Amino acid sequence: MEGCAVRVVYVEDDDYTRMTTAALLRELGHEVVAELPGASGLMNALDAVGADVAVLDLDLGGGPTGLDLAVAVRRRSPKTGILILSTYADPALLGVDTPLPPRTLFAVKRALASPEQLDEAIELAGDPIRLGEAGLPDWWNASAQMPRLRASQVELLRDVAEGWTNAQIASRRGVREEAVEKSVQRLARALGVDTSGPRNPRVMLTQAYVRLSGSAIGG
Amino acid sequence: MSDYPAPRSGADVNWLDRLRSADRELALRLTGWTDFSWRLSIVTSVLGLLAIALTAAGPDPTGEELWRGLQVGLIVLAGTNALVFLAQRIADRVGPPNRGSVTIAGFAAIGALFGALAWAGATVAGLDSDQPPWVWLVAGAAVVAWWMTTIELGRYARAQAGIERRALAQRAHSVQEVERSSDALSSELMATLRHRLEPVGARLPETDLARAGQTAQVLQDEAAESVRDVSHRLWSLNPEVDLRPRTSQVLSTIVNKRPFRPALLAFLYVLVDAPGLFRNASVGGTLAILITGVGGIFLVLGVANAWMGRKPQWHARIFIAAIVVLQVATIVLAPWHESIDGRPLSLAEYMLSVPLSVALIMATAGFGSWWESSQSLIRDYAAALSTRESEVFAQAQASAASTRRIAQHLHGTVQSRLIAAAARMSAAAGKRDPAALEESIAAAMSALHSLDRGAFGDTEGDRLDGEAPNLAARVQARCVPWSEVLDIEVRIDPESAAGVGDPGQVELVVEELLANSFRHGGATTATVDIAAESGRVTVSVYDDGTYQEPGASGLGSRFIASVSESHSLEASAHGTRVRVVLQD
Repeated sequence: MEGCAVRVVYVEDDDYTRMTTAALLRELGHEVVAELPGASGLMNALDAVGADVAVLDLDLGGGPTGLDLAVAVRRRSPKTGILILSTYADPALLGVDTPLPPRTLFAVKRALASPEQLDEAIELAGDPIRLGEAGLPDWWNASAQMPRLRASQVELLRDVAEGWTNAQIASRRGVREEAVEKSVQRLARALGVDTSGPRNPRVMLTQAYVRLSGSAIGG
Repeated sequence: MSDYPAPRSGADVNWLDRLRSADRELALRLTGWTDFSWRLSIVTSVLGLLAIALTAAGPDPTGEELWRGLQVGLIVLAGTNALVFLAQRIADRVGPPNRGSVTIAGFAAIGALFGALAWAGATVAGLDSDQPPWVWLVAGAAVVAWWMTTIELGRYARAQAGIERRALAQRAHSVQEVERSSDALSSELMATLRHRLEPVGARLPETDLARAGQTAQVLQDEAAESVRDVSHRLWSLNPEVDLRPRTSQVLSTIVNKRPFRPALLAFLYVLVDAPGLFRNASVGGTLAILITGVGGIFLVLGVANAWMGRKPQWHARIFIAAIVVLQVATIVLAPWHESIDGRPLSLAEYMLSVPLSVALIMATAGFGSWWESSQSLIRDYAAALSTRESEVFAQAQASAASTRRIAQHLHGTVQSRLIAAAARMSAAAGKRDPAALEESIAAAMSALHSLDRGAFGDTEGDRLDGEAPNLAARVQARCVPWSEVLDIEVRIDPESAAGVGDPGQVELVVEELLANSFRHGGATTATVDIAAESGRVTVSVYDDGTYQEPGASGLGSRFIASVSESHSLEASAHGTRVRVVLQD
């Protein structure tokens, strides 16, 4: 499949990213059959024009996430390759704990350092045989390795990054403040944050969240 | 086995191939025998008749021998016409002669039969022919093979030109249809949007409106210009396409376009240089003339091309002069040729061969030129049409982009339909598929019409930016993205709408419940029911999923708990029902 034009349906809510990435995909010789700013119209577009690969942004704002769409696309079309592109190192950071459906590739956007790597990602997503034989290339997971965190820890990390105090978090969760404090300590250890040093651990946790999510902190 | 353009099969068959396929048989029948082929066949018939007559009459014929030779020629030609008719039926089945030596060999075989008939005719007529039978056979084979090949090439060329012309005409028609559709879409976009925008006071980016208007105007102008241009090029003077070559084209073709073709023709000319060579020249003499003629023509052509490459009309003159020089050289050299009967060829015999040979060459060159000019015109037209197609489909791409951008300012199912139609439009324009393009344009227009029908289009979620949605519209709009992954039905009790203090809260609850149905229940369908019960607004979601405890931290559950007075969940084998009673 290498070097072949892949028919792509592309969902990305950011207009600038969608416009430039779609142009790049065309420049790489692929056929972008639909560019969508959100979930709306995806299934219609897939039914209408067909596609080899659906490229989905993970965080689409309101409504289903890219991962939700991936699940629905896989139910509907077992042969369509799926590539989820995300600033998040892990969907869990978005509060989504659904496992990736079969034949779905998840790539962190900042790992894609060149058009050739995007090209390779698209072609791997559309070619399960090649993917099975060669596996993911080295660059794929070269950055933004996500430490293993429980869902509750991801939630706690987000709360801290959003600026909630331990007391506020405890109040929202209906637990004691000391319990939240201990959870924050465990979270810091899991992320390799030094809580005994001179730097403010909450700021460092916030930095870790920003690094892993690759985006500004939501409200 | 046919070598005529054949349609491809399966998925490769596109609309153009289908047109070609449908048109092929008709074009072959209509153009099989044409004026041009008739003219060629008359020329070659006269040449063949003279060759037979002179060959049959023998050396130094008396007037009576010549008359009887002519009679033999007429009888043989009549008999051969029947064979030619048969050969043409065979050729129709086998394929064009220029693509297969088998067919030409078949013609040669018929020609040999023709020669045998001529020999037999001469013998029965009591003519004193001094040629052995094999000379008759070879002469007949050469003449008929040449004759038939020329005729069949003419038929094939005409048929192919007809097919291509019709296919191109169909393409032009399709382009015009697409233009009309795009034009209608642009007008529709303008009218619908303006009509919809005025009441609500909303605004779309000027660029979209400007592009829609621009597209319509450009398409109208260019369509008219394109049709005029195409008509002028092909149909204004003669509905059957005037492809007759001009003299200058004939001459330039001879010299410039196919330098090897005249050499081949010269070879054939020498081969059928009736009646001298077959009658009297020895094998050595024939070879000498062949080498002299072909080599000389190559030399003259090479010099002419190199020297006067930009003035084909002078080339042609030089070429004709070269023919004359060669003929004169042949005549001058004639006394030194050994003849089979030991007699030098007469000047009259050679003089007769000159105009016949030149006529033969010019007729063939005329055919070549006709072929060239027809192909050239068709190529020009195809190129012009392709350019026009590119412009039209680029406009269609622009319309698709406008439709897509406009859709982004809409909400609800109309948005979804417009986006899908824009995707199809873009794909169809990319593939240059006018039928698919028209379908997608119709789908876009239908979506716009539905938007225009009522206050909120087909569903209450349909609205434009700037319109203040009510509760139903807000809930519908919130459900639209989820309808991509779930089959959703929304039922809203009008009384509940009046009792809602914060519609945004209801929206969020609905979204949270739908997300849970899809992510944790694996549901494929869901029904959202918003009702008023005992003065409280309740939001219920029924789905066909199997409830599983959310694996995440339950932020959604906490949110629902924070805004609800109570909530409950009932799971069964048939699905799950979650009911949330909102706080005042």
